[in-house]
Amino acid sequence: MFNNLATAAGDIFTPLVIIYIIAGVLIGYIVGALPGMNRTTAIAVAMPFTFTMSPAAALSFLIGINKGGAAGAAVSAILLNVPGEPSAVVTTYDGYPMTRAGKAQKALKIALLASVAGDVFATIVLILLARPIARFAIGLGPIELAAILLFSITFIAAVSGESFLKAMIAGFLGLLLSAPGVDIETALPRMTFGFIQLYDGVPLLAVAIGTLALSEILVQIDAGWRGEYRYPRPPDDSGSEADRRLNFAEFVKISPAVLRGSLVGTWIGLLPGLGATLASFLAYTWVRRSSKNPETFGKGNPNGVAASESADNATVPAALIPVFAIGVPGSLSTALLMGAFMMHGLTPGPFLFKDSGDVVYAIYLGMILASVALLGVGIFGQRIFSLVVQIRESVILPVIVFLCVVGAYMESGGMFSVYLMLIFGFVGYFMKKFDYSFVTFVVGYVLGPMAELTLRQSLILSKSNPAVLLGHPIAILFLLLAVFSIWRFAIAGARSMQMERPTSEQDKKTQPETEEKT
Amino acid sequence: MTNYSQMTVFGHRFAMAIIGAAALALSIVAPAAQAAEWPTEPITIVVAYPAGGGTDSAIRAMTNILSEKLGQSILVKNVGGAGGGVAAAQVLKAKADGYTLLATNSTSLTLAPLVQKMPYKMSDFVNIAILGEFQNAMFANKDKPFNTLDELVAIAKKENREITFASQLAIDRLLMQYIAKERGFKLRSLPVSGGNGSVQAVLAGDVDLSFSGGSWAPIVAAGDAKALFAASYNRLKLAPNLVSMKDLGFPFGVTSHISLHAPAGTPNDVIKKLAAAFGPAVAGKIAQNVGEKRYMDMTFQGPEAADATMKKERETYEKILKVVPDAK
Repeated sequence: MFNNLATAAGDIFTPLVIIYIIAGVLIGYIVGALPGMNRTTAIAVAMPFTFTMSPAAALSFLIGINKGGAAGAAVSAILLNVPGEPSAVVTTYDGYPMTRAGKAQKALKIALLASVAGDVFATIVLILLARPIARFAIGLGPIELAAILLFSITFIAAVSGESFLKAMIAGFLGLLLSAPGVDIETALPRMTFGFIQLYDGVPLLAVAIGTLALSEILVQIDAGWRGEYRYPRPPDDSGSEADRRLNFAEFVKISPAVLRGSLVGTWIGLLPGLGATLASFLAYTWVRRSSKNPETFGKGNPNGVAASESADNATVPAALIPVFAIGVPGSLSTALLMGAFMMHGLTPGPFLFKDSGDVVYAIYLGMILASVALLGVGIFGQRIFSLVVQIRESVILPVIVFLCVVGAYMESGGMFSVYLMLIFGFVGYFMKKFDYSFVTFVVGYVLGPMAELTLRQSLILSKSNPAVLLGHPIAILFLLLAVFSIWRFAIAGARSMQMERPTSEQDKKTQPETEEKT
Repeated sequence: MTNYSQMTVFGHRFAMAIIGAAALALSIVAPAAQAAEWPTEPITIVVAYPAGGGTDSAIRAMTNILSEKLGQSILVKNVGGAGGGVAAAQVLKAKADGYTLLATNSTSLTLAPLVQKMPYKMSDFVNIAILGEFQNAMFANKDKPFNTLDELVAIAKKENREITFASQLAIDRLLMQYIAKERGFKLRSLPVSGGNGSVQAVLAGDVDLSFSGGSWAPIVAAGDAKALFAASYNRLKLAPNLVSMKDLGFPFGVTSHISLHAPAGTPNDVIKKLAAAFGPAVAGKIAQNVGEKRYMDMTFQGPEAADATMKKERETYEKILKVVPDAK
C-alpha cells in the first residue's frame, strides 16, 4: 500500500494535475450553483477533454466536477431559494430563511464546511472499506431495497409540513407523476397519452427544475407585482459581523448534524440507485427529529443546512464504492465516471486494485486534493456568489428562467422537457401559494419509480408469499421501522388536523431567529 | 436567398412563383453542390441513450478523429428514452442532409417497431455504418448448481419450477421466450433496469439467468458469475470459447449492434464521406480501448455491409416472432 502511495503521489502532486483538479472543482461548483445546470451534464461535456490527460488526472478532474457540483448546488438554494438539483431542495428549507435574516454568508459557510466534511468522511470510508462494504451492498436485493424505500418514504413524510392532508395530496400527486411509462412487466405503455417521450417515465429533471426553480421565480415576480419587495431589493447580507462569521462554538454546535448527514449520505450513496436526494431528505429528517427544538427547523436553523449538505456531498464518494469494488455504478453521474474509467483503459471492479493499484491510489489522493480544492474554491466562490443577492431582480430572474429552459432542454435533448418544465413551474407556483408540501411531492416523484420497481421485483421473486421475508432480516427490520413511522405519522397527522389553524398563524409571526438564541 | 427588392416590383403572385421555382431549383441542385464541399457545418450525432452507456462512450471516444477527418466539430447529443425510440423519432424530423445522425442500438430499428408501437419504421433511415457489435450473453451466479442451459432446464423440470430470468430489453425477452418454447420450460421474468440491474440480480442470487450486452464479462472474469451461452447464432468474437445458440442446436440467435443512421433521403456522397471518416475513428485507439473494456467488438462495417447486417437482423427477429408471436 505504501509503495503504491509513493508512486501515486508522484503522479498526482504535479502542478498540472493540481490545476486540473482545481479547475474541475471550480467548473462543478459554478455549474452546481447555476439553477437548471447539473453536474452530470458537466461531466458528460467535460469528458472528451480528459482524453489527453493521464488516467489519474482525468478521473480526479471528473470526480472534482462531481464534488464541486454537489457543493455548488447549495449556493443558489441558500441565496435565491432556487435549488439547482432535487438534492438541494432540503437546503432551501433553512438556508433561504437564513439569507432573509441577513445571514447568507454564514449559511454558505456552514453549507461549505458540511459539504467538505461529508465528502472527506465518505472518501475515507471509500479508501478503507470499499471492498467489504460493496460486497455487502450488492447482497441487498430488491426485497431489502423495497423495505428501505418504504421506510424512507414514511419516515420523511412523517415530518412534512403543517397540514397532514395537504402533505398527503402532494405526496400522491408526486407518486402519480411516476406512473407514466412503459410497464416494467408487460412492456406496454401506461398513461403515456401517445407521447413516446413518456415511455421511460416523466423526465424527472424537467419536473424538478419546473417545480423547484421556475416556481420560485414566479413567486418572486408575483411578490414584486404586489409591491411586497422594495425595489431594488435591499442587500440581504446586511447582518452584523457575527451574522456573517462562523465561529468555533457554532461549528461545534453543528458538528453532530454534519456527522449524521455524513453517515446517512455514505450509507445511501453506496446503495445502488437511491441517490443524493433521498440522502439529504433522510439526514434532514433525522437531525430534525433528534433536535430538542424541531419547531425551529424550516426557519433558519443552521443544523438543517448542515445535515442536508453533508449528506448530499457524502453520496458522491460513497457512490464510487460499488464502482471501485465490483464495477456497478449506483447513480447516473457515477455511471458516467465509470465510462471515463474505461476510456482510460481501467476496468472498474475486482481487478481494478490488482491491475492498476497505482492509479487507484492516485485517484484516492486526487479525491482528497479535490476536497481541499473544494474548500478553497468554496471560500472564494461564495464571496463572489453572495453578491448575487444584491443584483436587481429584473436582471437575475430572467437569467434564472433562461438557465431553467437550457437545463430542461439539455436533459432530454428536446423541447418536450422544456414544455413540461414550464407547466410544472406553474404547478409549483400554485403549490407554494396554497402551501402544499414540497417534501412529500419531491419524495413521491423521485422515489416513486424506484419503489415501484423494487416492490414489484420483490413480489415476483417472493411469488407474493410474505413468508419469504423470514429469509431477509434486514428487510424485516426496515419494514418494522416503517410501521413505526406510519404510527408516528398518523399521530402527528391527527394532531396537526386539530391544530391546523392556530399553529400556522403562529408560525407566520415567529419568523427565524429562534435557533440562534436558544 | 433571391434578391428580394426586385420582387416587390412584380406582382405578388409572380414573386411567389419565382420563390417557388427558386426553391424547386435549389432542392434539385443543392444536394450535388452541397456534397462537394460537405460538411460546412458542425455535425450532430444524436446518441439514443443517456450519457455514460456503451453506445455513448463509444461515440464520444470517436469524436476527436471524426472532427479531424471531417474538418468540422462533432456535437454529441444524448436523447434517451423508449429504448432508443425517442432519439429515432427526433432524428427522423431532422433534414436529410447528413448533419444530424442517429447512433443507436440496431434493435431499436430492427426489433422495436415489430413489438412496440413506434412512430417510425426501419425504412425511414439509411444505414451509414455498423460501429460495433455487443457481445450479448446469458450468465448466472457462480453458486448456481448448473453450468449449461441443458443442466438448468433439467433441474427446473425435475424440481417442477419456473426458470427465473432478469429481463431488461425486448431482445432478451424475445430470446428467452423463444428458448422456453423450444425447450419446453416455464419462464418467470424479473424486470430489471439496465445492464447494472441484471448484474446485480445475478450477484445477489435472485435469478437463475440474466442477459447482458457486455456487463457480464468483468464479473465472469472475476469468478463471481459464470457465462452460460452467447445469445448470438455464431460464437462471440471476444469470447470464442463460449458456446453459442448454434452450438445449442437452435436455428437462430440474436445480435445487436452499435449502428449509425441518417434520415432516408440523405445524399449518397454524404453517406460515403461519413463512412470514410467513421472507419478510422472506430479503428482509433480510444474507441478500441472502450470496446475492449466495455466488451464490445468494435469492428467497422461500411454502408453496404451495414445494410446486409441490419436486414439479416430484421429477418431473424421476424422469424423468431413467428415462433413466439405474443412476445413483447
